[in-house]
Amino acid sequence: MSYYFAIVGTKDNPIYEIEFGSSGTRSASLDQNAKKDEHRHLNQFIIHSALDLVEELQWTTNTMYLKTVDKFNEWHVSAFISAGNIKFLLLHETKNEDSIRNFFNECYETYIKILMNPFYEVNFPINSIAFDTKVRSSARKYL
Amino acid sequence: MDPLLFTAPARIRILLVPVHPIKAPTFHKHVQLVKNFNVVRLGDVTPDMRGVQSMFSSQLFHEGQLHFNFVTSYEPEHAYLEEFQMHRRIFGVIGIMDCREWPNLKEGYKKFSEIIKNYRTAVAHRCFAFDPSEDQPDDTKGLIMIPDVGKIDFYMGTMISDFANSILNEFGNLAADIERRTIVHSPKIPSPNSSQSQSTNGRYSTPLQSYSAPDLKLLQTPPAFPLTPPVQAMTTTGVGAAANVSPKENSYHNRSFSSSTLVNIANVPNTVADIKLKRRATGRIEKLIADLFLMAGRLPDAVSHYSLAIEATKANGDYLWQGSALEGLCVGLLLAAYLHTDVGPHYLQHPSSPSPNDSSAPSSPESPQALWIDITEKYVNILTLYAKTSSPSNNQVPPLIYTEACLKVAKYLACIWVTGGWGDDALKLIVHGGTPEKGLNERWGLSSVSGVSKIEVTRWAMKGYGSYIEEMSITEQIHITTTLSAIFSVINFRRKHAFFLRQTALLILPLLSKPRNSSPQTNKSSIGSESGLLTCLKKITEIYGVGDDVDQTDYSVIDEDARPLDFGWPDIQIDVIKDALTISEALPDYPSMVKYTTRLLRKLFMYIHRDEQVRLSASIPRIVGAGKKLGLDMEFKYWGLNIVKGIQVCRPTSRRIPYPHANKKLSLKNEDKKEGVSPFIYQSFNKKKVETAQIHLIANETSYFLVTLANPFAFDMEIQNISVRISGTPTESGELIVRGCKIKVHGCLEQEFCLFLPPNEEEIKKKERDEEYSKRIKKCGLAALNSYHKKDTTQSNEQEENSPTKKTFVSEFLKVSVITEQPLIKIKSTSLMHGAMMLFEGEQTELTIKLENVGKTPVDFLNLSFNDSTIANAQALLNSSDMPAEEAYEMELYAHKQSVFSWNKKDNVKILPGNEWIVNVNVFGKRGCVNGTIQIDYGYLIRPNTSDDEQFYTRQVFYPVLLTIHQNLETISMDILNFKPLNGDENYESANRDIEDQRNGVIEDLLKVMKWNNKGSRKDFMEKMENDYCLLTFDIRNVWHVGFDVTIETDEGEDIDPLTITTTIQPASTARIILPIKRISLSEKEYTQPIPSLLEKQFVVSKGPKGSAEQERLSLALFWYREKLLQKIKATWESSFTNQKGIVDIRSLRLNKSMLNVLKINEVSFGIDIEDASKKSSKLCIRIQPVQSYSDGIMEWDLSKRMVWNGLLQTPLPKIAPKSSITYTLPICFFSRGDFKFLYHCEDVHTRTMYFDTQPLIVEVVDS
Repeated sequence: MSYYFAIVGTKDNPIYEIEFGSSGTRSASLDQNAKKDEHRHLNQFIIHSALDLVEELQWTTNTMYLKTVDKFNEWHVSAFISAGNIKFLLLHETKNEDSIRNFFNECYETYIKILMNPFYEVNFPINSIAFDTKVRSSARKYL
Repeated sequence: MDPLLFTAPARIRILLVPVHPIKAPTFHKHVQLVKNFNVVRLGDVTPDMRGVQSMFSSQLFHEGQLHFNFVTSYEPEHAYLEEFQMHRRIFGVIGIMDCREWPNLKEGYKKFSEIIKNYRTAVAHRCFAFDPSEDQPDDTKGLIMIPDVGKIDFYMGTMISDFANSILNEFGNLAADIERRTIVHSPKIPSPNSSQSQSTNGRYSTPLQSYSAPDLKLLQTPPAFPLTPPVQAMTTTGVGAAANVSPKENSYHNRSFSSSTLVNIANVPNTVADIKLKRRATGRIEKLIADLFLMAGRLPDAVSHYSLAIEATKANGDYLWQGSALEGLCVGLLLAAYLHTDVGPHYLQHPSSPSPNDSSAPSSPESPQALWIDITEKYVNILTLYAKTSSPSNNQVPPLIYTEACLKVAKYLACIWVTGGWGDDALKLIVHGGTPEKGLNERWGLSSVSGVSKIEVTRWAMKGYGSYIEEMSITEQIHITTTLSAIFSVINFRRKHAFFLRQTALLILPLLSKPRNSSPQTNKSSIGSESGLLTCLKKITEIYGVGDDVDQTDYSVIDEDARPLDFGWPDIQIDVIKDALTISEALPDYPSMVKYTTRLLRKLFMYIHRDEQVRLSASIPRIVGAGKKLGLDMEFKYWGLNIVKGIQVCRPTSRRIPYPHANKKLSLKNEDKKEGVSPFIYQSFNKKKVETAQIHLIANETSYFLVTLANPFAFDMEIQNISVRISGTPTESGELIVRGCKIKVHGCLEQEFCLFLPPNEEEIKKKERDEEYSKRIKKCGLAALNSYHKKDTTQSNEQEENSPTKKTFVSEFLKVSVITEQPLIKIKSTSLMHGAMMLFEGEQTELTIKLENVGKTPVDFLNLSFNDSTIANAQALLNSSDMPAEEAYEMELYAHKQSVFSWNKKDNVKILPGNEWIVNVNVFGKRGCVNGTIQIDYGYLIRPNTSDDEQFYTRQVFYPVLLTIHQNLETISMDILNFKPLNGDENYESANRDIEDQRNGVIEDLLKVMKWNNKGSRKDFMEKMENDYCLLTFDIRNVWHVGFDVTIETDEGEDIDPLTITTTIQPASTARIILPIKRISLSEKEYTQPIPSLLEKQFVVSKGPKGSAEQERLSLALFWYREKLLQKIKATWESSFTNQKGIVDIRSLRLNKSMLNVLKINEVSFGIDIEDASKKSSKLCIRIQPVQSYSDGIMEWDLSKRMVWNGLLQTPLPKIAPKSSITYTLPICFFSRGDFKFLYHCEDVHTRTMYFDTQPLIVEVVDS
């Protein structure tokens, strides 16, 4: 089980990226490192292309959690959109709406804390270690 | 034509082949002509001879249409599907021949006949010979000549109708063949993993490889019919493509459909399976027949046959065929809706009634709204049916079929969406394909109007893109990805569009790089796609935020610093550009390689590792070199960020700086005043000018600019040449605009970098506000990209409103004013050695400065101003300490009135270029001065053609002088004494003698004094001296080691000649100076004036302790009397050895009260008569004290025994009127002899001022 979580700003810019779990096995013949790198890039592309759907879906619902918005092969893309148009996107293999919802909610809370920092500006990359550990712990908790 | 068109099953595929030789443009022109006739109404089809009896007669269903799918290429790799989906096969071949290339038409036709042998499935063929010449006989059978005259359209239409008829006839034969069959096999995917076709493995890796070999192997059972689809005939435009096929192999050309091929494909006979297959055959045959009906435009028949097929396949659990039949049914219904014909309700209800899955949609063809929903739902059903076939044993659905079904629905929905809903527009788009008009849906706002959501489209589309795609051949994959990107482009999902576009490009990449140089054939074919691929890359990069707009940013202009990318995902952007780079490298397209390399560096260098940057930058010259080898014009502009960070005018050296003056007359007048200190302590309006505010350049003189360059990259940048770009008039006065720099960076073209002035504070604030504002706006991702596309008319009003406000800020270039030529002067020489002077205090000497005009213009204005070290010190002292007014006056006098330097201004200065001019400066040895500066302002004022009001400029030359001032003489111990007359005239001579004897030093002076003005009688003189004169004495000490001649001169003015005394004072000796001074009378008004200030200074109330009124009066009187006294005396010195001369400072002398009493002429004078000299009447009180004085100086005060007097010794006097006198009489009688003195004074009753007489009255009493 592997996950790829990204927070995307309003200008398609990544604010935060993280991968958990073992990376999916696709082509075992490739070198492990190169494969991981390639995989990560593919993830970014998938997430990026899913933004189209997020933007479409966000007007149709009142909830912030948009559930699974896109499917790419066996991968699902779940989305959560913050009040400030910041998109939380998770790439996962199995459907598990509730735990993903919880994960998003917790990440959102953590993000809000970052946002309250007067030295942080919207759309800027998040470098906080505390944020990173918190996201990881919520991922452990729910995913 | 698009294979994924929804109505593809209803299209008859006709291949257009060129009969070589033919020129490519000619071929394409004719192809376009033929393609105009892709739709033929059944009613227009030439009636068949057999009439209605024919199975696919065009006469039964007049509303129907035949849809031809004219293709110029053919994909043999889908041949295995041709039995399952009949529309995939080529039914007809039309040869296109250019008569001008073929003089002998017969031979041409022979060639065509050979070509058509490659296309075994084709049931009809024609050969069109275009543009025949007059002499070419129209006698070749089967060849249709199409002249380039008359109604070509009509003629062609007829030909096509005729062609359609023959196809329909052949359909009849085909159907008959099909109906005769007992077993119909499902398509078998030629799997690369299957053991039987190992040789096919190669097909997937290189799809361009020959296809014939594996198929030959497969065709084992009836060797008489080798199934040989054309080799490498995918693109008939390829020159030798068709010719490559060896006619030997294709000699077994079978026009009729043969079931044997299908049998061959599934070559494993299985009895159980056979039975099963036999049972299923009926349904499958129905389906195939229905397919033919569909293609023949016979919609009602097609629908009814499909319904039968569905029923039959369903009963057998033949899911694949059931799904396919349903697909066909959908197409049939859709076409019927398009033609507005009724295919009969029973046909529709027929399939839905037995199937519970279908019945969910109560559909009727009359309601088109329902139809599209119905079709969508049917497709859901189709997909589930297809999915059921997943077990490999059970006629597994080829992934292509599944994917195509998904994509077809997605495309179909996208068409509905883009046309704004179900309707004729949508139907037309679905049936005919083509690219929909973009933004058709925009007017509906959100997509809900159409009833189709983009989400749904996406869902269908993504369903079609599964992991099994990777198993497909590359051409298939490319087809799928292009279709997907087209769909997403239609629904305006640009990110998805770009994603699949990139996938396509990446899929094409290996095709490009592998066969390079291996065969000229592939090389040629790829050239055609190059431009398309490049356009593709352009589009991809644009959507990922690194498109060509980025390049359009004019980097020749400095606007903003390189900020982190404001749009997009850097990692992805790097990836995309790298992909683009790889692709253009594979092409190879050197200009785009350079383009992408530079873009990568410019936009994303912040995210690229140092080594990578170095590598990329190093690759540029290599690419350029490679490009140049091919003869391409590889000169390219500098690509990086603006390296010019700033440009400014260097401040010229101080002697070259021109100083502006407002107006000739005005400023010249003010010149003198400038020296003075402003009377106000603080002036709110008089702001200090900032010196650096304005820098002027001077025509015809070299100017220097300071250019700041910055290199943001991690690698070295070699700048080969740099020059400042200016526009304006550097040779005459005016404005010079500094545009920027022209820089040649190594390897690039010389490029101009403009530089704007930094925006002022207001602009910056506004910008910040805007940014803040835009941050608060909820902007959806790619909307940011839209702002780049200003030309987009679909921009919202809000943005349009914003844009003009943004444009209000117009950047400006640095502007420097250039003034007319100015003269330049240098100090050629001076009379000083090393610029230093040694002076005695008070010495006066002259300094000469020789100026030379080294400029090109004459100088006609020269002004000198001076500064010395004492002024600042004294000024500081004045400002800081709170000294008494008289001290302050003294200090001011010292600071400002005694100037070290002075000069006599000369008019009519004219120094022509190259000429010299001498300026004399007077130097005064001022105490405490250490250094001074002579400032020479000069300019050329009276130029031809200038008015007086114009601004003019002067330049300055400074000459610093070091000064050493030595003290040589000092004046000390001043006193003022009464002129005391000697006793009687007879004593005069003796007294003279005495003096002569006693005081040698003073004798000469005194004698001189005696002789001076001695005009009247001696007695008169004495009397005069007694009353009007007093004696001023002071000492002059020589502290230097050389003797000086000192001359002291008193000038009483009026008609009296001035008295001059000269003495030589030897070193380290003191000389006493005695001077008769006429006593001074000042009116009260005069001496009670406040002490003036030499500077125009604001009055400040003194903070010091204030004395009493009398003290104040006294100090004022002292001040004024001293001033008067000092005016009279002039002291100069001269050194006979060195010819130096100067003045002696006598201002160090101070007056005190007793001196004052002697010096001033009293207002009350005594005598025999008591007089009053004051102008006002005064009330006085007189006191008289008689004393007896002895010769030894002892005074006897108690005189009551010696004398008696009748009256009061102390009494007030009656009031004395001005200029009058009164007499107070005191009768006295002396009792004894001796000298008696009467001391007396008067006191003013009101002012308490005491008046004393100069001498007491002395009465000598002798015995009678």
